[in-house]
Amino acid sequence: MVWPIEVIVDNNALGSGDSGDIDIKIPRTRAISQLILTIRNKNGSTSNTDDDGALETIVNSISEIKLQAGSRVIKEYSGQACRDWDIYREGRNPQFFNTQIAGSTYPTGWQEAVFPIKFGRGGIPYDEICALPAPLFKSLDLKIKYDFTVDTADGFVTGSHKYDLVGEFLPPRSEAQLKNMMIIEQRKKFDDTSAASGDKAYALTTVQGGSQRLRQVMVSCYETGIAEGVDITKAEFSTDSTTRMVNDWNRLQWENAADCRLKFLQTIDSVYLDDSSHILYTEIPNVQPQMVAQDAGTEDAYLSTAGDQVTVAGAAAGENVALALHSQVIPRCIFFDFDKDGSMRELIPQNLQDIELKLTHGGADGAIEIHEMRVAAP
Amino acid sequence: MMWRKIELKDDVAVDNAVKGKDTFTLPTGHAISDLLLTVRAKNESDHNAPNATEAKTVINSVSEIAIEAGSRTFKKYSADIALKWATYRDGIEPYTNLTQALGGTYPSGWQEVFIPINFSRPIGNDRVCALPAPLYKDGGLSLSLTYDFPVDDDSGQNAFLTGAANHRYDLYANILPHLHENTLSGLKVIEQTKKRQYTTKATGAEYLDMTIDQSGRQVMAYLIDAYKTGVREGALLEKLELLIGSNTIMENDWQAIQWENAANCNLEYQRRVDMKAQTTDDEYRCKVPNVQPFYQPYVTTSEDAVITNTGDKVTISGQTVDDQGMLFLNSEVIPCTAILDFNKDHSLRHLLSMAHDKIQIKVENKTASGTAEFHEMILAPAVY
Repeated sequence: MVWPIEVIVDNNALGSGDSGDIDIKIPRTRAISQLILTIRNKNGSTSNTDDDGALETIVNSISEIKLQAGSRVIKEYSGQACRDWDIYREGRNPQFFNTQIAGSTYPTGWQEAVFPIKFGRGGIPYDEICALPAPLFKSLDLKIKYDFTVDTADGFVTGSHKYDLVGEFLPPRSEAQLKNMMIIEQRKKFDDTSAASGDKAYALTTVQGGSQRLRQVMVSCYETGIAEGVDITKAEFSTDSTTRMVNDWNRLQWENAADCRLKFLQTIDSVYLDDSSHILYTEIPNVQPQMVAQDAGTEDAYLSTAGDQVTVAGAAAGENVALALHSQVIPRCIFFDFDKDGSMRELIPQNLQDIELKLTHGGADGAIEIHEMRVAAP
Repeated sequence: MMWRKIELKDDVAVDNAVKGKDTFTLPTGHAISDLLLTVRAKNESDHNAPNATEAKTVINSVSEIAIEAGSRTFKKYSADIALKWATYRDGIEPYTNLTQALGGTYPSGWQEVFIPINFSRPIGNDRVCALPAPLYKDGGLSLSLTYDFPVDDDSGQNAFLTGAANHRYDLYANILPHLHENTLSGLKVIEQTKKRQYTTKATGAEYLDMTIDQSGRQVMAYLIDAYKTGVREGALLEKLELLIGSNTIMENDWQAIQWENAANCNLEYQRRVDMKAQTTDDEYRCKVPNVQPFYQPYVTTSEDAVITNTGDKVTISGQTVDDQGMLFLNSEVIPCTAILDFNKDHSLRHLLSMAHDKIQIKVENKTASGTAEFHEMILAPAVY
C-alpha cells in the first residue's frame, strides 16, 4: 500500500496580521507519519538585514508550533527548536532559503523555511510503530504563533507571509492497530538564562504510574558573540539520584555530530551589507564562514568571526556577498540520546522518583532551553 | 537497565613534558561500547605554522593509542589512523581544530582532536559488539597513549609549547547496562591493529601477508593508508588485490576503491584550518592528497591571495606575513586511505574467515618512498 502524501494547505496566509496565531485543523481520517510545514515571507523593499543586531528571519519569526489533541500537547517548540530536533534526526539542516535582498516576485527576495513535524523514528522510513493515530482523537489542531517584523530595510513586507502544510499518511489501519501505535511527543520543559558560574539542576518530567518513556533530551544555549561550550560547559543526566551520563558541552556536540553523521551547511544567498564593517549574527556559535563576492566592490572583502558573529569588512554599504556557513556541530545544541538504534529498548521510564539534568554554567546571559522527547501510548 | 556515559579523565595533563607514554587502567565494571578520547595542545607563543615542511598537528603528535589486557591487544593505531577508521564509519571526519594561531587561553590557539575508539558497530546501542571489560579485570585492562609533541622549534614558532600542562586529554566512555557473565562471554570484540608498514617502490608488484588465525576470528575490513607529501591519490599504490592462497577475492584500482568507500559511507570530507602565513607563498602540507582547497581571507591584506596545490601541498600566494584566513580542505575520498570492507551492511554475515593458510594483499607500486600502513579490523570472540 502506498503511503499517500497530501497537500493540506497550499500557499495560504497565516493570518490577517503580521503577528498573531493560527489554528489549523488536521485531518483525522488516517494515521500521520509527518507534517511538513513550509513558511515564506517577502523581504522589505530595500532589504532584510541588520548590522550588529538579531536578524528578522523566517525561523526567528515563528515563536511556537504546537500540536494538540484536546488538552493533550503532542508537539510544542519554537520554529528554531523544531528545526534543531530535525538536524539531529537527519544529520542535515532542513531547507532554509535565507536571503537578505529586496523582496520582489517570488522567489526573488523571499525567505522560505521548512519546519518538519515528524512522528516516526529517524532512519526508519515507513515507521508503523511510531506514528500519530489521528483517528483516535476527537480533535487535532496545529497552532502556530508568528511575529514578523515589518520594515523596508530590516524586516518583511506587511501582509506577505504564506504557508503550506503537507501530510504523509499511513494507509488505513484498524482501530486495534491504531491503539498499538506509539506517539513521539516533543515539548519544551524549561527556559532559563545562564549564570556566570555554578551548577544548576533541572527536574525533568516524571509521571508516576505512567508508561511514558524518555527518548531524547535536547538542550540549547545561545548568546550572540559567544562560542560553543562557554555559557554552559558541562551537562549531567541522572535518574533516581544516580548519574547516568556526563560530558563536557563540546565533547557531547562532537559525539552528537558523529552519531547523526552531521553535514551542516547554512547558506545565505545574499547578505545585504549596510555598513563597510557589517556584523552578521549567524546564530551558529562556532561558525566557519566562506564568502563569495556579488558586487564589483566586494571582491576585496574579508571576514572575521567572534562566536556566531561574522564581520564582513572591506566592502561598501549597499553591496552584497553570499555566505556559506559551516559548523562541525549542531549549532547551540546538545542531545542526550537514549535510542540511538531506534529500537526503543533503552528508553528511560518516566515513572522514576526523579529524572534530573544538571548544567554547569560558565558565562552569564545565555538563553537556555531544555526540551524533552518522549514516547507515549495513544 | 540504562546505558551510561561516564567520565574517566577530564582535562588532565600528560605525564611527560614533551614525549612519552601514559598508561592507565580502564574500569572493568561494565562492558564498554565506545571510548571517546580528546587530545589538545597549546601552540607556541607566536604561532604553529610550519611552511613547506610537515605540519605540527596534535593528530601527528599521538603516534599510538593502545588498548590491551595481558597479551591481548584490542586496539593499536595512531591518532591519524583512528580518525580514518572513524571517518569511514560515520562519513564525516571527527572534530578537529588544527589552528595555527598563537597559543592563548583555551581554546584560543589550542589544537584539538576528538578520537572515537569504537567497540560497537555504527548502529547505535550495539549489544552484539562491545568490549566485555569485566572478563579482563585480571589481565589489567589498560589504555596507553604514546605521544611526541614537537616543541621549541624555530625560536618559539611552528610547534607546540613545552610542558605537560600544555598537552592535555579527556576520556569518556559509553558503557552498557550490567550484563550476566554468560552474556559478556558471548560479546564480540572489534579489534583494530596495525599489521605492517611498507615503503612503496617505483614499480612492481609485491605480496604482503595478512594475519591468519584458527581461533574463530574473522576480518571485518582492511585499511590501507599510503602517503608521500606532494603525491596524489593512486600514485603510490595504483592497485590492490586480495588473495586467499592463490585465489583472487577482490581487486581494484586504488582510486576506484576510494570512490566506492566514499559512496559506502556517504562521505562528506572537509577539514578546516585557521592559517597564519609565514611567507608570501605559504605552503601547507595538509596530508589530503587530492585536496580541493578553498581559502577564506580574514584580513584586508590577504583578500588577493591565490591558491595552488600539488598533491597535498597547498600554496597560498599573494599574502603578507602573518596574514590569517581559513583553509577549507575538501576531498572526494578519505585521504590516503583505501578500505576493503566485508561488513558493509553491519550484519557480520559476510566476514572473511582468517582460518586459511595464507591471506595476502598484492600491491602494485607506482612511486617510490611513500609510507604505506596496513591495518586490520577483526571480529574476535570475547575469549579465545
